[in-house]
Amino acid sequence: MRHPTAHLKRFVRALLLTAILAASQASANVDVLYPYNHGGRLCLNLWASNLLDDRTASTIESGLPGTCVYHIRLLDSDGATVTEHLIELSLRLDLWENLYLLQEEEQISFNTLAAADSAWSHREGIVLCALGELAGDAEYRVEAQVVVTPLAAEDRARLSRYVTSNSSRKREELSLDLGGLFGQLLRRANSDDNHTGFTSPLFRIRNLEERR
Amino acid sequence: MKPATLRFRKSILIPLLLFAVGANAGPIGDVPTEHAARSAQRQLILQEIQVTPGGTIEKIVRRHICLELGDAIDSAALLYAREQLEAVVVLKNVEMYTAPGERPGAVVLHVDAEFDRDFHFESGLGQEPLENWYLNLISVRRANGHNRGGYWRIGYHTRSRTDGFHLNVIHPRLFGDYIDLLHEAEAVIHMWPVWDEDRNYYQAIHQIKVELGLRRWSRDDVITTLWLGINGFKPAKQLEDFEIDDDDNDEIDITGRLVPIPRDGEGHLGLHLDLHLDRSNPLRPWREGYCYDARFTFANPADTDLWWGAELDGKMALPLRENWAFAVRGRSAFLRGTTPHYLRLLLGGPQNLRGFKPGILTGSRGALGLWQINSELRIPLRDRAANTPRLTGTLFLDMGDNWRADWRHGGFSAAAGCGLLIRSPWVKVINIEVACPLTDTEHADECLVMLTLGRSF
Repeated sequence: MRHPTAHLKRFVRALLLTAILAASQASANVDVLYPYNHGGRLCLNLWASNLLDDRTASTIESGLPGTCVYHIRLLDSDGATVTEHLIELSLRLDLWENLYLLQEEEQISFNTLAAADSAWSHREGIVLCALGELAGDAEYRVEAQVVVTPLAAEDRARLSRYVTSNSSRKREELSLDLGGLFGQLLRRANSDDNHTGFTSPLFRIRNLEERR
Repeated sequence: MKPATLRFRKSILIPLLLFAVGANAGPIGDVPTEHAARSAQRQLILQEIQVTPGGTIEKIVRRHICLELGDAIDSAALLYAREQLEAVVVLKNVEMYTAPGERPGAVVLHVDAEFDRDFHFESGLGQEPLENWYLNLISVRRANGHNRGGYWRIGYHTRSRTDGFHLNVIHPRLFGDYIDLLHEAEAVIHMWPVWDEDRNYYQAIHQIKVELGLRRWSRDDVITTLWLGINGFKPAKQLEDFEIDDDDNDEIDITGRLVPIPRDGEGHLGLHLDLHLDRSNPLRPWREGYCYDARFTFANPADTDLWWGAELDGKMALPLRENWAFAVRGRSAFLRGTTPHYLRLLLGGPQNLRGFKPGILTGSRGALGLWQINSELRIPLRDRAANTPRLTGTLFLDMGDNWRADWRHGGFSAAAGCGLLIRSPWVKVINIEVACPLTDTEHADECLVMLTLGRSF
């Protein structure tokens, strides 16, 4: 038999979810990037918003994970990538413990979805590279993109989507969808030219704030 | 299910099902993932599937989705299901998300999809039992205009020595929700192997085929297909040497010693009844479940007597400890009447009886009866907990026997070997196998390396 407060918790959770969704009609985006010097390493604080779309929130509430992937790139003044960093976070509700579990390298639990949403929207101390690898006088900037999906993260643009296998009594066949493949490659090339993520202002390494 | 339908299925399938006693390792989907096995009391259970939009797309999704209500699910299972739906060539932009069900742990799955109305130009590789590898030089595929979930595909296949056009048209649900109308047309040249002492020849068989089929899907995983068609054949009057380059043009006339002297044109009106029962675990077919095929063939040639035959093919996989699996396949077939030699049964080859070249065990005139048993131990080596491990090792033992024209005994043959199943994101699963015959067989190699697409069975 279920605990009598379980229905109440469920109701409160639904209310909170509705409130979060009402406040997050826009798509997920990165709002602030703050690079700084921490012990000779280039570190980054990141704030994002609107990560929980209705489908991802609903999936999390059902007990399955929602996944958030941050793609962070350090660019030089010409726009060339110096280094890049991928952060994948998975958030799910443990229906039996009634806890929201945020999984990165280690697992952190939260009592509410709002608290968990806040935690994966605000990342601190992301290490990009050692400052010694960068030129002190050169100008750099940081660019970040965020993608949130229901269920596990998956590269939906992976090229293997255009390979299909057909089996029958008589033959086994592997087909490559030429139109789909070349269309995808073309879209990738175009998207490389038109980055849509948030980009920080240009900064010099020697001007970075130093934090303990 | 209607009682009459049930009786009919029982009469056909009971012999097959008897073969599977003990094969069912519990309801399919009970152990689909690592999560389900780890916390049996804390499973998420699929309560409902909602498809947007409804109508034909909903019917297609419900037919092809590899999940059933009551299944334990997790993220990997849903992503796999989405991948399977994306492989249904008439759908695109398949999206999935879930919502809480009516009770804790119950999940409602939402599936969104669109009709794919684009033209698709495809190229690729394929494999057939006899001719082995071929190149799908180019083919065009498109969904039918009336949005019933059907499609057509026309392609040109070529091999080192033979080639041909293929046309397939599929009209799903022409006569109801679970009946499809199928068309298949081919104009191809087959290569029939002929052995003579230490020489290996082939006879080119020109074939034109036009067939119409009715396919019925039922809720208990049985697919029944009835094919009716016209087949025309023109066997070559010379044998060409397999080993000689095309330029050397080393041909010998057919005298009736190796294969029958061909007539100018041969053909028949054919009727096939195919039954396919699949109770494999949709997520791990290599490890759990069973699958049966039965085919009954009747052919009425224009100028010879009627011939007919039957073939039964059963496969099952049993889960073992540490994600290992033991799989076994049994196949038996016979033909009656004046079957042309190039339509007779074959034994030997990859995905057949490994360790021997295709058709070598049934000789130049084929067989009128055969049996074979394949057994295989499957051992995941990399990514072992995945539904499809990245690398799987296999150890196998195959055996079989055949009866040729006039029911002359062909001889028992067996081979053993090992292999590697490699899961690649691009080519799905490729299979490399090395097998050595255990019995003395004329023309057989001491050891044979085989490369195939997908598992052997």
